[in-house]
Amino acid sequence: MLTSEAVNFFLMQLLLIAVVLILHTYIGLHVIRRTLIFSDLALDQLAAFGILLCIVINSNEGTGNIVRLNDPITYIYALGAVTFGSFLLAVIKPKSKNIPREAVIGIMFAISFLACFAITDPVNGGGMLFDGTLKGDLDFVTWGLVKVTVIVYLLLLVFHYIFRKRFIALAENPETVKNAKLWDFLFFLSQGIITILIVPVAGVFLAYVFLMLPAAMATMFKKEWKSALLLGWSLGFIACTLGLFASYNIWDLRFFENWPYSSTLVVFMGVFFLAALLVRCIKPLRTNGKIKGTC
Amino acid sequence: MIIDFQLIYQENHIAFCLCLMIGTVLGYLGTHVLRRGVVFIDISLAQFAAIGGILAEHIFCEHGHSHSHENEPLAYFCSISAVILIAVFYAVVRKYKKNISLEAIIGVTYAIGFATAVFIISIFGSQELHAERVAGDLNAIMDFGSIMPCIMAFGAVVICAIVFHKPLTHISNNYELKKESISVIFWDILFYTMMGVAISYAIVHIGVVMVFVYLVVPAVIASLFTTKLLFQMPIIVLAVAVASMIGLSVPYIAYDTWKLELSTGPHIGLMLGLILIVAALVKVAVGHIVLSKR
Repeated sequence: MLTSEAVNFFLMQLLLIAVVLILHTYIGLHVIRRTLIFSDLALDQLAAFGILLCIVINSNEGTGNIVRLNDPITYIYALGAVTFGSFLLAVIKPKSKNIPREAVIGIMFAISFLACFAITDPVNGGGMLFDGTLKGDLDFVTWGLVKVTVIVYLLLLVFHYIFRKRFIALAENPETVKNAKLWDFLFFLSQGIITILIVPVAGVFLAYVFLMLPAAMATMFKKEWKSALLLGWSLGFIACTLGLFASYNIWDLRFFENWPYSSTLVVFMGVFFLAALLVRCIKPLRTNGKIKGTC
Repeated sequence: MIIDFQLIYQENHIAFCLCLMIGTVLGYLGTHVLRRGVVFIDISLAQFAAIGGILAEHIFCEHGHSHSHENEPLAYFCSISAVILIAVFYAVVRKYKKNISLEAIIGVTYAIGFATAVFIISIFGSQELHAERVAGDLNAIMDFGSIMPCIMAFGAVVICAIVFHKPLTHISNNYELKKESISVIFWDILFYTMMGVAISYAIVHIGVVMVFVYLVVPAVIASLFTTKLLFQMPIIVLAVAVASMIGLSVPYIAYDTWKLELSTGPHIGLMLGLILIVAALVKVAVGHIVLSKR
């Protein structure tokens, strides 16, 4: 039997997941169609770098001033880091065919990952902090955070709706877009802002999976933006809800004991993703009666 | 402040040789990866190699004896098996994929792989083992005997790279055109297996992310200046040597100066990143000089 406290907790979590998934799935569809797959992981890791840098600079054990992963000041540093990252992502486009853009994105991710490791290495309890940004912490979710997240996500949704034609053109016909670098920067910045809000709670990898997995599942079945968004959101929400229940062990089964929050959600979404791949293999796409492919 | 370079050399010459060997071989494989445009395949393979190793430690080790050397061959076997399994998966999916790019599938499976590793260690509890697989442990290298399995595995990869150089290069240069043939699946699996073997042995010493850095960054630095493999390799070796030498020295200098105890791996990666930035600036500057002369 769930207590009222538990009901409150689940409502808060489910509302947060529902809101987060709308924008994440939409931006994920852009990312997949533009084949900038790891741009979000790079921004997630940069947000984590901003958070850790803030803690390392501002914490002082001597005076007892300890900054936590979700303190408001960490969001400012994270915003600075993702703005810088968005600028680099928009500006650096190698002209050489031998250097794919994904290589630049990958190097940004790896260097920011190593930088996180390097700055926390000499700090007391630095390993725990570093681990905290990778895994996130469910306890950081409060009604205050949910409200801020809902407001910011709504503003970003309105922004993306107003300028949807330009952003869709960036994905489908980038050569037709005027000031493409500016729109690229705005696209990456909006991706970065949602990253800042989600990384302390979900961790770098769940934040990345939230963006990629629902969109990847939807892309396998739907080409149209609206139906892909709806399908991706629905599948993502069902998988996350089941993952949340399992990590909380709502069914009180021994099998689900000690299941960690963020990785359980990823594993559930991963199972959905593999099932979607399997369905596509069994039931290939058909165009005019001809089998066109399986995934 | 006096930096004892002799001490740094004495303590690190084995780790330096290991880094040079790993960096050179991974750098060569990285040139293929760049031409194929599947940059993230190696970090994904490395992650699954880590999962194989972690699972082996839990399945075959007695409780409380998680780092026994007797079980090392089993751990390597599980790592390589996990990599081959995921390599076959990628090779087959590449043939059939249509609506979604291979990079997207690689990206998603990498994140799932990382979460699975975190999930396994949360259930079984072995935080230090996962940290070791992610960040590596160069400080643990005491003598050449401790890196002998790695030397033998990399020797086998080098022999394969020499023997099968032609077909592998041909496929890498025409990657998009070659995906329909069954024999391409065979060469793909062979290439990913070579990478998998190298990665499985490398992550024990340098960790998942450093494997990725050694694979991509030196190859990108070399590709900035030339497209010919013959000229790319000396650049790769030079970049790896400089970054490894400085990166291995940083913890000693930090300890001598500020009494800080640092890990070595991340500093080699950061140094490679710095060399890449310098190389890109040199490339831009040279490009401008050539343009202004014209």
